[in-house]
Amino acid sequence: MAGEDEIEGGNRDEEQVHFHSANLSSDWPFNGPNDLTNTSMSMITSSNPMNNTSCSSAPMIDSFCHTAPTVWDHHPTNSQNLGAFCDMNLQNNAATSSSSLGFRKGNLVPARNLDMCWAPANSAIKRGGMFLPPAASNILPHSLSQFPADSGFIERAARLSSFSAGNFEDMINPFGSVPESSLSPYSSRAMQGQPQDGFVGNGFKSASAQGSKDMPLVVDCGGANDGSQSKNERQSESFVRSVHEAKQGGSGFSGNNVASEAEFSEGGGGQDDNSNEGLDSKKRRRGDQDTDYNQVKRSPQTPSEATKNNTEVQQKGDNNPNSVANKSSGKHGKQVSQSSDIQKEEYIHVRARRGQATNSHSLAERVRREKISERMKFLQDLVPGCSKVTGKAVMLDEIINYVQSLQRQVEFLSMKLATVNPRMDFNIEGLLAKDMLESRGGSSGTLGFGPDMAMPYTPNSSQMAIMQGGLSGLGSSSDAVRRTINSHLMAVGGYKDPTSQVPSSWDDELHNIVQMGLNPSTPISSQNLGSTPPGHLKAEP
Amino acid sequence: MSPSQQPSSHNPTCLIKNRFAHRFVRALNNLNIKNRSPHDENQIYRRSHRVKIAAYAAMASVVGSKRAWSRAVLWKVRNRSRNQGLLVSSRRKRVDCKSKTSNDHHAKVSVVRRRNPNPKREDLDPFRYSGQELKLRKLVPGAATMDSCCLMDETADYIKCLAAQVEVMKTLVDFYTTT
Repeated sequence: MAGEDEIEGGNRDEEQVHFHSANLSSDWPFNGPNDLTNTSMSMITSSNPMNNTSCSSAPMIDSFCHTAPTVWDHHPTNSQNLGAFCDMNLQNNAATSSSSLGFRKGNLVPARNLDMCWAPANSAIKRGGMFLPPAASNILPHSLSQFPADSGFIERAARLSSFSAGNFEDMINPFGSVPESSLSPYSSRAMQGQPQDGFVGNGFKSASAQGSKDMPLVVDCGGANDGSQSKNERQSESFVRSVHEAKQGGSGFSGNNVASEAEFSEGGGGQDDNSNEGLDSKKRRRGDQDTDYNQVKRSPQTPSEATKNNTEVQQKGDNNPNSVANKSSGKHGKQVSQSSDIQKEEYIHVRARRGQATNSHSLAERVRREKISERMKFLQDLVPGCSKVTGKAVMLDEIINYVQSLQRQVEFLSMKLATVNPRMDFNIEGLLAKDMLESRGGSSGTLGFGPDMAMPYTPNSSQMAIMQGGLSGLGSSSDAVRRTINSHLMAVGGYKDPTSQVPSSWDDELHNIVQMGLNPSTPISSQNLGSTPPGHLKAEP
Repeated sequence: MSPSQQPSSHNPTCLIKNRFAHRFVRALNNLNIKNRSPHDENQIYRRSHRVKIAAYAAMASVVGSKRAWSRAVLWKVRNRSRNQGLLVSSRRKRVDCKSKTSNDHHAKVSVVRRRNPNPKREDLDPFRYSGQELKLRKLVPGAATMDSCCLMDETADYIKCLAAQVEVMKTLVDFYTTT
């Protein structure tokens, strides 16, 4: 698929080159309108990165604008005709943007949008229709003899179908992308329904009879030429129906086949319209190829949900680097592909295994769960005594217990500090000053406490022993203080059990700290204490 | 949690402990200067409460605003100190409790406001309505607004800092009691 898409990108570039060369070399009076379309195209493309979800619509409009002007440029028609078509191109741009938005919301909305946008386009085409190029008029009639003899319509149909068919061929058939000078054969093929052959020849034989049924229907609709409204409505209906059929067929076929069928039928539905749907379906195809076909199996059946699913696939396509990089063409594609390369590492391993749900929602949910479990593992390492526990609920319990115990310890210690402090004002100040000195000296020594501190922190001593020792050490504290602390001790005794199995690790750590801070024999602390005045330790009480 | 902030090596926790000790000792000193010798039980309770708040605030300020829990603690402490500045002038105890409750009320209101914009995300949480996660959310400051990924993150960091805090406070207590 990558190779195909590269070729496709090359084709697009080629088209662009053709377009520019046509602009430069031919000094025809329709350069003005072409520039107009060009600017409109650039406007649309520049406005596209703003809405990230509609990033998928950017290449649509891009490719549409790329191919469409080349089609007109290479036709040996005169300036008025081209002016008309450039008008139509503008209309088409409006139509594509509006319809691409509408397809996200619902299937029935685009019908109205297209009605509104296409009526002036049709009139414009009819105005220019009398300048029928001889090639198109030669090719068209033999297969479309049942069509009314409105040359304006025929030309319009030829042009429009050539947009979509040309795009289709460029998209899917990398080898059949003849340069634009031979585009009238394209249009003729589109009119005669030969793109089917192109699809089939390219390995899309899985496009079932439904798609091929859809296409004559739509061509007939276009052939009726009874105004654009009914045609568009029917096209949108057929589009909906084709989506339906794609979904229903998805349960039976593999994802690739179904996607191609959907693409084909959608392309048939939108063939006379514009290339928007065709490109849209292209996105669907890629998205489906990238994910499992399980998604198609599980995809909802109602049309509104089908559109939802469609947007989901598009979003996934945005996440997926391949589809984004391939969809976007030229300079626009580079940025997107770069950004998607960043996302690639995150999302490439998210792929659903067999039997797992492949909704974007459930994929995201799975990613999230993996993240959570990863962090739980981290917490497991952090919370002592939690390493042997299996099961998230028990682990959460352990974590909660540990946090609670720590908070209670803080409470208890603050209580102790509150009772203990008052008699040590001077010492605290001296200590603080020396600490400040140490910190300004840049040393990382801990606290500079007296050496007698190391005594209670032998790793063997239990917490209760420390606490009781601390309590007994409160010589001058009143009975009230003792009572409050005793009550706290009871509370502490409640949580002591879960933590008592644990704390050898932090006792070790503490031991290290105390040793670091207090033993002058260790090199680190000797450095640290070297910055302090030598009388520091002696000055400590 | 993230390796830039706290790699699991020994040093950063030491650094945190060191800074915390400095701040905490300074705060204790300020407390001691304010009121010297508590003899009443009530006074001792209030004092211990202040010490506790000072400890939490010191730890949160050491961590800074990088973490959600420290942000929450700092916010709470700031509001509390603002209200207490008014209350200390009036010198009434009961209103102290009232101000605390009103603070909690404000916090809840803001929490509700923040939770609203992304409600769907939290509907998907499997742990969201399990009792344990709710408990944990109550324990970790500022955790009411997080999704569970962030919650785990913040809990890990909070546990680390809390353990360091406990150690430092223990050393302080032992230092004071033994001398």
